[in-house]
Amino acid sequence: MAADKNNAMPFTNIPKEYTSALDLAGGMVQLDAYADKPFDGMRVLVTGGGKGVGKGIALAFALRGARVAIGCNSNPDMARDTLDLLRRHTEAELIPSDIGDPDGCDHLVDETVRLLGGLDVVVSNAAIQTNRSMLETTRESFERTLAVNTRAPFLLMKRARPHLTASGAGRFIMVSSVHGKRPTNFDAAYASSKGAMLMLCREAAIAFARDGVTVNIIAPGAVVIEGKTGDPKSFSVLRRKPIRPMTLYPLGRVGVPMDTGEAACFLASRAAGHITGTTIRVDGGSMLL
Amino acid sequence: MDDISGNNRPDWRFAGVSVWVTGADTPVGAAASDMFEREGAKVLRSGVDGIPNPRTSAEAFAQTAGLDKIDILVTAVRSISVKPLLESDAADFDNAVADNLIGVFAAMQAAFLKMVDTAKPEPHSNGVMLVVSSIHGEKPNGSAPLYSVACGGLNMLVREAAQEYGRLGVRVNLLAVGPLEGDPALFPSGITAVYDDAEYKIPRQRLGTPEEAARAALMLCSKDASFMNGASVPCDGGYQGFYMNADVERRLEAALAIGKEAGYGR
Repeated sequence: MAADKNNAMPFTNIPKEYTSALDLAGGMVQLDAYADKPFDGMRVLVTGGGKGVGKGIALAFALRGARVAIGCNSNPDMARDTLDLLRRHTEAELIPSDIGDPDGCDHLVDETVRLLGGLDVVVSNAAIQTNRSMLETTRESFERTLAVNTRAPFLLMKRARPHLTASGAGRFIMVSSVHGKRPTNFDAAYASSKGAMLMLCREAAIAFARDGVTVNIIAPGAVVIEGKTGDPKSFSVLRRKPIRPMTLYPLGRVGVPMDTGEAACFLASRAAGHITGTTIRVDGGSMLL
Repeated sequence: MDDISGNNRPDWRFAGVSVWVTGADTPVGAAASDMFEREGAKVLRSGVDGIPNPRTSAEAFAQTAGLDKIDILVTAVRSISVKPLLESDAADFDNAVADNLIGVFAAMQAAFLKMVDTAKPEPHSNGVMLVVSSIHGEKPNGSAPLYSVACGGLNMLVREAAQEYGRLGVRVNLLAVGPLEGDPALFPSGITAVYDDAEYKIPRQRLGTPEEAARAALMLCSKDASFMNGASVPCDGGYQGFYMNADVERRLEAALAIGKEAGYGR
């Protein structure tokens, strides 16, 4: 019964622009749920915030009244649409930059601080995925994957450190994946970069603790984003057989970007001040199976 | 040809060694017992021949009372009761824990006192304990949930014992055995697909055998593992690496094609 409720479409009058970020979200997200703006005054940078999971994260912060800067490299048109959406709720900025390049990381942090007047939360979400097997993966693409997915959060946290320290309640949140622990079978470089991120998080949590800055990870499972279907059959090697969704996701549905956004907002909140160096899986329980 | 009449064969790792196997009635316990004997050990088997698996400390001490010494303890008990969590009561819980967890704890206590000579001023032992548990110490099975609970308890029991007994030289490790032949039938589930097509979720695309698990167990009991203590070693053919979106076969074909094109391999 619970699964049926989760699968229901609770949103009947939500404008179309929101749906890719909100989609179902299990009925938990309402656009007016945070009318009291609990994050008023908070300054947030979301890398890769133009689309997909990053859009859901940026929107979750925007709905709570935080001022949001989104970094973007690919798909500038989608990022501009996301910016328009965010600006309906809050002050938002779009900063094009390639964080695979060290200068791009510095630029992104510096621009955010200049535009927002400081920085309280960094959500390092941007990632690339090549979907290539190990033999197909070239040295160049392996290096590029590590540079964007793992070196970038490292460089971002170094550059953002004085600002996060000055904030008094600085938060550095990284978006990893269930594939930080579990092999993908289709992208060794991606899984390696996400696994490295888990230890980066733990080391950084110790190093930043004395500054009062927490460092945590969110690990989503499969997420429906633009251009990807939520049909569980498309995720399974066992597609020759009928699949019961609940045997893939115990909670009965695939993830949506807003699931990750809500978890990020919890980690950014005052309530999470004693949490550091940990990983929150947001995968509908799929990694249990 | 090998001379199998002597007891000093170099490939006998356990000549003259006293081994106590609890759960010798399980496939892995039986296979391990046979292998220990083939390598020259003297084996006490609990769970067969009218010797029950101990469920309490008193039962465990009674079983070891007549023994001069124990060098190696292997616990391979496995008591699976298929019953949903919601329908299980406290008695079901107590049963699952008594068979799979408390019995192991009791056997460890009794074996430890036979491993260490407490009369010596500085007792020391080269004893070894190995707990044969399952992948369900980490992974829910959705079928016999209280078995998983007991396996989760074993994970920490082994680590605690490794710290305490390890001070006197006893090594304690855990072997987390993955889908073996026959296991899918033991864990029917309407709520998870853990055992559906289990063999295809293992890279080698076949289930393991009790003998394979037993060989891994003997390795962990041998001197080759002399610096392993408190370890939890999976013996699952890579099964726990499976995630739902693994499109293994297509990727493998692509990889082999690339490798061939690049001139690698034969």
